[in-house]
Amino acid sequence: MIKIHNLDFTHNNQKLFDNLDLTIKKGEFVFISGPTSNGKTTLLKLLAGLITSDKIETDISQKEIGFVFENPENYFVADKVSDEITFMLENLNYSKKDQLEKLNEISKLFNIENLLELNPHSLSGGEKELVALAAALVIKPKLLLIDGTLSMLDGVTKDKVMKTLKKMNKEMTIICTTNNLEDSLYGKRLILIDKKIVLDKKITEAFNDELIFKKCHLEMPFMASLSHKLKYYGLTDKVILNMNTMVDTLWK
Amino acid sequence: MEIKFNNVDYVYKKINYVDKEVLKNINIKFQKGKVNGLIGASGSGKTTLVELTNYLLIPTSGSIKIDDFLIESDKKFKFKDLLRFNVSLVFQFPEEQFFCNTVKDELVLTLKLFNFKLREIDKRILDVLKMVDLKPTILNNSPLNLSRGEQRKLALAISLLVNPKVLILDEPTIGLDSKSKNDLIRLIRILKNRYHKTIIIITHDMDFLHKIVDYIYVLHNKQIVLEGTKYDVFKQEKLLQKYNIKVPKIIEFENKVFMKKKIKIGYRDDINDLIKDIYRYVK
Repeated sequence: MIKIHNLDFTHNNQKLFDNLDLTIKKGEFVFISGPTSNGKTTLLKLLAGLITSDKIETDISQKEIGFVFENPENYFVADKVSDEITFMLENLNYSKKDQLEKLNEISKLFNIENLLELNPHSLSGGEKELVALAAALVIKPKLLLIDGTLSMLDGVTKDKVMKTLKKMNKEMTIICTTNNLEDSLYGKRLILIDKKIVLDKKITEAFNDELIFKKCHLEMPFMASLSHKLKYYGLTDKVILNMNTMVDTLWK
Repeated sequence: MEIKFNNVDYVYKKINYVDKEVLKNINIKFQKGKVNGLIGASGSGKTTLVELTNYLLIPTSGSIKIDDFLIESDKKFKFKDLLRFNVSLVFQFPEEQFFCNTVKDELVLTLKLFNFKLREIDKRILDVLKMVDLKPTILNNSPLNLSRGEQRKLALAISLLVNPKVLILDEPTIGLDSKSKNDLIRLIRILKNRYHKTIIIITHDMDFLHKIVDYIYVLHNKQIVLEGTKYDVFKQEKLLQKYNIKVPKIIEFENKVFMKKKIKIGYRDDINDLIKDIYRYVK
């Protein structure tokens, strides 16, 4: 569980957060968005303890946190993908045998066995993201923080990965930042921040009000936009996010 | 400007003691004056392919013809600089390449590298800023203090300084908010319609691509496995799934309507037209 209380934060002479209050409980799957440069990355770093603050209360220790940066290339430390993934395990004093076992497990899960002997810097953008994610997950963190929702992955791989994360969600709290609200449909809770929290709802209810998204320059997911437009024509009376449900509703 | 690949192979030599073949027998011609989309699974070789068009990489075999320029695998190519006047590439996360103190310095640096004369530089800079919709007041800012959307526009401005006939954008929408994406869409349309540039875009963002692309090439397992107009390509949802590609949401929805209710809604570009069709069929 993480609790932020009365957080003020200034960056480059600009006030990023103004008395921010936020509580995230174990097992949540939260997407954080808002207008660009609203401090999403900064907030994630605060949650990870990469930036310290006495306004944050948490019962999760640093070594139980996995972090995936937006451009993972800048954070690779090893010459081989396998070493990159086992880096944290090594530092946490796992035996070589355990390291190998966990490496095999995670690389099988994300289908990156063929990348293990390569230099992380020689990989494509999407491959780098998968390696960074594997490295973050191999320690079985209690909290997973992803900055930018893996936007270099192709559509099908991303879908598989997000669904895999959903399966792991019970034991692992997940917080992602994004500018693409289509991604938030994988999560359970959507928070929009513009100095303060301007929206904090369950995904199923988050898109009922169009206005806040227009204000934040954010495009709603396709199904939400479609629902609102169909509402004007009187073809539906609520926001339907599932395509099958929408088709059945329209052609009862 | 016409770009034609003839039997091009590309092999990365000795990555960790082993050669890695990334492209095999590529034979495509990018459509002149149109928006060409290059899509495919992560790691399929898209960036490699575009880096061959402006001689950042040399084909292992085969040749590439770019108007009158001919790059051959076994001959030395003497016109690299001239080629780069004509083919400009904007990389992923282009903001990471900025290193000057001011925006103006970044722009001037490129012009100096291309040997522009001093008196042409100021005018050229104002021209490109206008093209990408950036105010001249940012010239004195540090590139690091711009918003990401502005940084991307700056990267685009830099690539337009030499007035290239071909503009290649590698994953231009990563991390952009909706407003910046819409600005980019508007800009691409202007570059194509007013300035008649040939544009090649690599992206995984199909909803974005759908709004501007004319012709699509699908790269899979080292080869181009599918090409055609966006209509021809995107309607093949099941096949594209095999190539790790998810079609735009609007297409996915149209296909679902057809599958479940046997109603064929026309292939719609725009959600507003889709709504009109739905209304007609439901009432």
